[in-house]
Amino acid sequence: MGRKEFETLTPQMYYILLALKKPRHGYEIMQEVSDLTHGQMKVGAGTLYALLPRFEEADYIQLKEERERKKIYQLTAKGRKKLQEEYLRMEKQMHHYREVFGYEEKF
Amino acid sequence: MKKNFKYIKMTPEMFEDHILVSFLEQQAQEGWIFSQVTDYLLLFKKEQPQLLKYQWSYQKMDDEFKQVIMALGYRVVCHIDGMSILVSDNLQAEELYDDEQSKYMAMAKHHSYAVMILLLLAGLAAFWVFFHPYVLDISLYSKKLSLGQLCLNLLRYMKVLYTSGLFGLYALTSGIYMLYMRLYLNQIIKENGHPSGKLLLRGLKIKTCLKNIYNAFLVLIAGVFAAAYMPLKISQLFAYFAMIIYLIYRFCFYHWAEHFHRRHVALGLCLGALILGTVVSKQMVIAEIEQPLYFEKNIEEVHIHEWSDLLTRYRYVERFDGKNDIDERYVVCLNEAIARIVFQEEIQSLASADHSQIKGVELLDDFYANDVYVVGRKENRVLVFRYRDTAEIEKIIHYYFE
Repeated sequence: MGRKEFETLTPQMYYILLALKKPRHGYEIMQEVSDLTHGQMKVGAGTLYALLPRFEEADYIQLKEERERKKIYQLTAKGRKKLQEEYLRMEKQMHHYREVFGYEEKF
Repeated sequence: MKKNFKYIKMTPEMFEDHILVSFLEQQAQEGWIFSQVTDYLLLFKKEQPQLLKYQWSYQKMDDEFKQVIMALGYRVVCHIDGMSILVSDNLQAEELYDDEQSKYMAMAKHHSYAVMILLLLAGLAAFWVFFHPYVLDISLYSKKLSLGQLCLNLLRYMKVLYTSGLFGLYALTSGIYMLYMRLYLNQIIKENGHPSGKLLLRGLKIKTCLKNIYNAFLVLIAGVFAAAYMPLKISQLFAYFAMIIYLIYRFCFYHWAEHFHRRHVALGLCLGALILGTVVSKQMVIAEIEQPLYFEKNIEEVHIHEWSDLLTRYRYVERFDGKNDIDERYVVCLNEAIARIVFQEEIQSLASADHSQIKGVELLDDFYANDVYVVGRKENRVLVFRYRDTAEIEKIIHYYFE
């Protein structure tokens, strides 16, 4: 049985939404994701520009303005809530890991 | 002589981006640089062997996206069905897609419902015109007709009618293919699952298969036209067909759908234009239809089931009496004489024909005969012959037949 769209976020989706705490256009989002993760995570231009309209349709982000033919987006309240849900989901996963392998395990 | 370019046909597998990209990179290493794609033929130019990085982009190439890919070191090589192939000299250039699902989201945008509906509607409309040519009919005896009839008749004289069937086939098959792909991509996106390579490939195979059938159909039509018409007709056929495809399919559908970011606006505008066009076309106008220059003595209507038989007999009229040296000026008269005989034969064989079924008349091309016009040819319907009867013809008939 498959999952519904955006039921869980991929890492790319998660970081794109995080980067949109402040209004940004596409290229700025890519740079912000790279900065935020210290270069560990990069979002491809194709991936980003395919996801932005989908996020907008899902009401996770909104178009704030269009400047020099660049669309500037910002996170919405619904998008923020989605990020919180994702955070809690991942926290729960970590908790389950600790329950299985113990809290004293060191990496 | 060394070749400076070569063509390679795209296989369905090549629509899988990694396969095409690897293939192009390998060709570049051998000194064949990919430069263009036309009708699924990849064109390569001979240059120095190079290490290039290719990427397949499913994204709409607007100004913002173009700036971003340029900043990443890519440039656009060409577009295929609204998608693009990019190249970079930097082998370390970032990948455009690092998330499979987003790729399918971008692909789905190229299979929009608006374009799909427009294609299906256009295909059905083209077929309707093709199979019901009587809507194009005009009467040579009536000077009053609707604006739509006048326009359609003008189109027919421009040979556009011949292409409507082809366009209908193309539009319908494309629409069905797009529907298949869209439903499939929707399923992948909604379920956030991994696509079945087999299913995707099946879609792409359908697409190339349809294209091949369509091309084969074109070749067949060309053959038929080559057998029945002069080469000029073939060039006309392809010229007008190309015009229709370019103007309607490429420009109107894609351009409108892309220009108006929301597809339903494009669809609404098209439907609005259709309604407006229908209203305008219903307006009655007084048109000066050019009357035949010759004197028409008899106009009759008969049903003929094998119009091609008549045509065949008629086309060889110049060899009718076994002579090749018939004076040019007599050929026309001979044609008329034969037409008259054939006409009388048909009248006799179809004496009980139900004339109430006659839907209308259609003036066709002049084929090889200058003096007899076959009217109506579809659905074994009405054929009307018009022939002149002059004193000169009488003399010729007497000379050759009596």
